[in-house]
Formats: sequence, structure tokens, C-alpha cells
Amino acid sequence: MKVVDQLSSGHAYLALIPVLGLAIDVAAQLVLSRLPYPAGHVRKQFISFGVGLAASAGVLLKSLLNLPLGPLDASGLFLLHTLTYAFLGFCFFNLINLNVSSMRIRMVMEIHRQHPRPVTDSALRARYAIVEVLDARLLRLEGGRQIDRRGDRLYLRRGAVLHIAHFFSGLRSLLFGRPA
Amino acid sequence: MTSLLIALGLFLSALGAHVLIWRVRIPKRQTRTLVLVFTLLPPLAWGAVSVLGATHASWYPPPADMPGIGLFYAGAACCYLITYAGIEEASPSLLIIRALEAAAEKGCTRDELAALVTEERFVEPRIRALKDQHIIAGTPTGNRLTPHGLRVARVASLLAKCFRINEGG
Repeated sequence: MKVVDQLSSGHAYLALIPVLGLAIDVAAQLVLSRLPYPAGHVRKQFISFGVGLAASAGVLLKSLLNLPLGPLDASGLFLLHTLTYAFLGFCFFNLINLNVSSMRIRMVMEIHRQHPRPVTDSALRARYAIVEVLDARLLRLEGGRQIDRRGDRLYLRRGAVLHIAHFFSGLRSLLFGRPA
Repeated sequence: MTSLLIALGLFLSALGAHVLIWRVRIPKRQTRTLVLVFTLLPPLAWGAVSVLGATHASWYPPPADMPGIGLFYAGAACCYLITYAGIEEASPSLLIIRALEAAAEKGCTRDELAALVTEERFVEPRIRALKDQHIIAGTPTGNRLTPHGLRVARVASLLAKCFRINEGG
């Protein structure tokens, strides 16, 4: 009972602000996906993430200014809840992206489309021909300015995907003692 | 500030335990073990702090900060679980980028990259993983969705419909 009292009289409600930010992110994404705005889904996701971030940071700042907290505690709580929003936003971003780029999800969707008819392994292999996957990825990397095409050769540009690749290699080395 | 440090410390402790377990022996069911590590660590840490009688220490966060710490930890753990899926399975895009990085000024042709992005490397393991995770079940006439797979497919369809998502490559 004492804990419940402390929770209700304290600033426990601040934990709801990142959730509110996520709800705004989702709502903004719903609106953006319906607008005839010629932008890729990743850009739309960044915009909706930014809208949610601005809203949650604004509400958080206003709430913290009204609380009797020192600057250090207030900054700590601001960072805690802003990072929480970023984590929730990252999860939502990946949930949407899975539908775009995850081969496993697309295989499941394909079998679902045929349901209840069974789909053989060879039919799945034919549907997800690896050459088409390669071409789609090359097109996406070129469009995202991660690689350059000069004549019939492709070259790396130092972009975000390279940093992601390095991050995964590092993590693999840490966990498995080998980079790949 | 102590709440932020405690939340970070809790997450880093779970990450440390995960690295330690993986370096000793890689679990057979990696994702399940990882979920277990992240789920068990907070109650274990809280138990240890209670046993040591540190719940009244000045650094112990007030109850009002607990929901925030909990949500931070849960969010960070979910992010790491998503990231870990990228470690378990190789991505064609990352492989292409690493190959082009290794080729440096020489670059690569599409055919050279096609020799790396193969069916055996990317399609077969994914079909196998879907079977291992009981999302699809192989029958003599082909693959069917399991009840769990059907739920996954429905959620994915709903998301695609809501957010007007088109499939990529």
C-alpha cells in the first residue's frame, strides 16, 4: 500500500510519456502512409519517429519543469524517458521494416496467400529467386547512396550500412570469437 | 540521475551475462536463452539488493522511478533481441557491402556478387528456420502454416494493410 501511495503521489506517470510518443509515432506513420507523398517508407518512418520524439520530449520537458527536482535528477529522468522512447521507436521501425525486407516474413505471407494449399520448397525457391533478391538489394543500396555503379562495376560509398556491417561484425566477434 | 544509471547498469549486466554465457557455450536455442537471460536478470538483481539490505541506501531509486526504469530496460532488451536476429542470420545487403569494402578500388561486378549471394546461403537457411521455429510444417505435398504461423501471417498482413507496405527484395 505504501508503494502504491508513493507511486501515485510521485512522478511515476512520466513513464507513460514515451508510450504516448510511440502512439504519436504510429499515428503519424498511419497518416503519412496514406498521403500521396513521393517518399520511401524509410523516410516516412524517420519523419513519424521525429514527430513522436518532438512530442514526447516537449511533454517531458514541461512535466519535469513542474517537478521539485534538481537539474541533475531532471536531466537523468529526461534522458531515461527519451531513450525509452527511442527504444520503442526502434522496435516499431523494425516491425514495419520486417514486412518490407524480411525474406522469412515474405515466405510466410506467400504460404498464407496459398493457404490451405501447400507450397513446396522448390516453389518457394522459385518465388524468391536469389538473383531477384540480389537485384532488389543492389537497387535499394544504390538508391540509398550506399554504393556507386560505374560501368559494369559496383563500388562502396562510406554510408550508414557500412557502419551497420561493422557493428554486426564486432558483435559477432564478441559473442562467437569470429567476425562472420 | 541514479535512475538512469541503474537502468543502464541493469541492461549492461544482462548484456554481460549474455556475452559470458555465449563465450562459455553457445546455447542451442539462442533466442529463447536470450529472452530468459533478459527476463531473469532484473528479479535476480532486485533479490540480491534486498538480501544485501541496500533498498534503503541513498542511491536506491524512489518507487516513482521504477516504472520508468522497467520500461527503459524492457525497451532496450527488445531492441537488442531485434539486433540479435541480424547476428543469427546473414543479410544479403550487409554481405554485398562487406564484399565491396574488401574489393576497395577494384569494385565488383554483379556476377561476382551473385557468386556470394546464393540460394544455399540465404534461401535454404530461412526455410529451415521457419520449420525449426514451427511457423511452417513440411508435409509430403509441401509446406503449410502451423497455427502459430497462421497468427504470424495474420499480424504481418494486418501491418502491411494498415501501413500500406509493399514488399521489397
